[in-house]
Amino acid sequence: MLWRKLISSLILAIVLVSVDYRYAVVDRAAPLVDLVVQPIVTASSLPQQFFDWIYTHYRGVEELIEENRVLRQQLLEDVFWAQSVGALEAENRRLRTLAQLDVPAHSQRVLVAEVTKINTSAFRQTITINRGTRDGTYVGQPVLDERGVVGQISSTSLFQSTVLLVTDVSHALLVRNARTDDRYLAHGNGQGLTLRFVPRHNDLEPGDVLLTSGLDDTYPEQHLVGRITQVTAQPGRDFLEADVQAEAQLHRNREVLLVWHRKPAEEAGDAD
Amino acid sequence: MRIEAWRIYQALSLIAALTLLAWPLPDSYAPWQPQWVAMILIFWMSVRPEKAGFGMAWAAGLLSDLVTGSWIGIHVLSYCLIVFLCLRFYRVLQLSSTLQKTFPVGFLLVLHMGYLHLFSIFLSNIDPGLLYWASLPTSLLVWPILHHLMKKIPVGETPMI
Repeated sequence: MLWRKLISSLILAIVLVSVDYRYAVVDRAAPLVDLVVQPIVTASSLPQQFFDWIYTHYRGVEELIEENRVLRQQLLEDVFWAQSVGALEAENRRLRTLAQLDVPAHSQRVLVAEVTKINTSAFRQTITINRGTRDGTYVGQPVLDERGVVGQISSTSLFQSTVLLVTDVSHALLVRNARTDDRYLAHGNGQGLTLRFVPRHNDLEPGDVLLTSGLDDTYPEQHLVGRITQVTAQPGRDFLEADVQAEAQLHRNREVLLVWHRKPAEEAGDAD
Repeated sequence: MRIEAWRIYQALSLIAALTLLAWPLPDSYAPWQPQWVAMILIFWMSVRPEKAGFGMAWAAGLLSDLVTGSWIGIHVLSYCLIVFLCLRFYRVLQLSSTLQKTFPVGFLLVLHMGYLHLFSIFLSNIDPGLLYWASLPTSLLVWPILHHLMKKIPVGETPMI
């Protein structure tokens, strides 16, 4: 009797795992799942919220004034840089037109989203955010934070979306080495990213900064992805392997930035 | 139909364990987080082996999978195995003191974690490294305290056979 129960349970569970692994059933039923899981997740975030509340409540006025001052300064600097970027872009556009190159169309809208859940599973690196199709999100939408690339939306429902992080094993993106302009494919490995199959004698050093290349249809160009921490050359193998540490604060984010980014060709094809 | 009191405690303790499981910790602390759900399951199996069986394993497993965002069914497999071993060798759990129980509990947790480790390598090609096992010592340290506290609530323990 006991054996029979065990074996039927195991078989049923294995069927569940394989069906979900193959067809992503849970991701598709996200709104239903949230109904069950949300109370637990909300409860688990209560201690953090409590400490946050205490912290904001009992902070001195001077401290807030000081913080305000620093933020104002930061804003001023950022506005300055943003203005110069605008000028550079206009100049770039003019030069590209003179050189008869394609003018990159910039139609980027951004929206701040709050992280509502961080999945702690060892198998998949995802977070859940509080923006959904109601806000116009779409599958494959890039997600950034103030430091760099976070990931892309892998499933979206009316009110929230799941973001696949760049460190997930099923995620890969095209990156560009800022120092040498070489391009690589960066795979997630669960903890960071890996560049595999880099030809030997390729100029690659620890500390190199990797940016998005803009060649995939997903990510906008020139955003920070990570830094190379280690380059390993195993004897007897034809390729180098490099470990990359993601620059974005993948597991500590409270807020992330959604970017509406489409290739010009796609945008022309969209009849909206 | 009257719901027995211990059923409510069982559900509450399971929800508490799941809440702790979902607690977002910084990366440096996360591996040290004890295996709350597995320990709660083992505790109930040690006091009510005939009542808290595969049903609890399924509930704990499905909810763990949903909360951690892993593929559904993975934790179920492990918890069913734990429940089976607890039922098969219930005397070992029932006849020993809190401290003595640490050994079978440690064994079950090693099994549980080893199995999840295997799955993470097999399904997603992630090798979490040695730090993955960090939650084992913390679990074993927490276990006597957890057991002691849980004994305070009226669990309606099954008399020893």
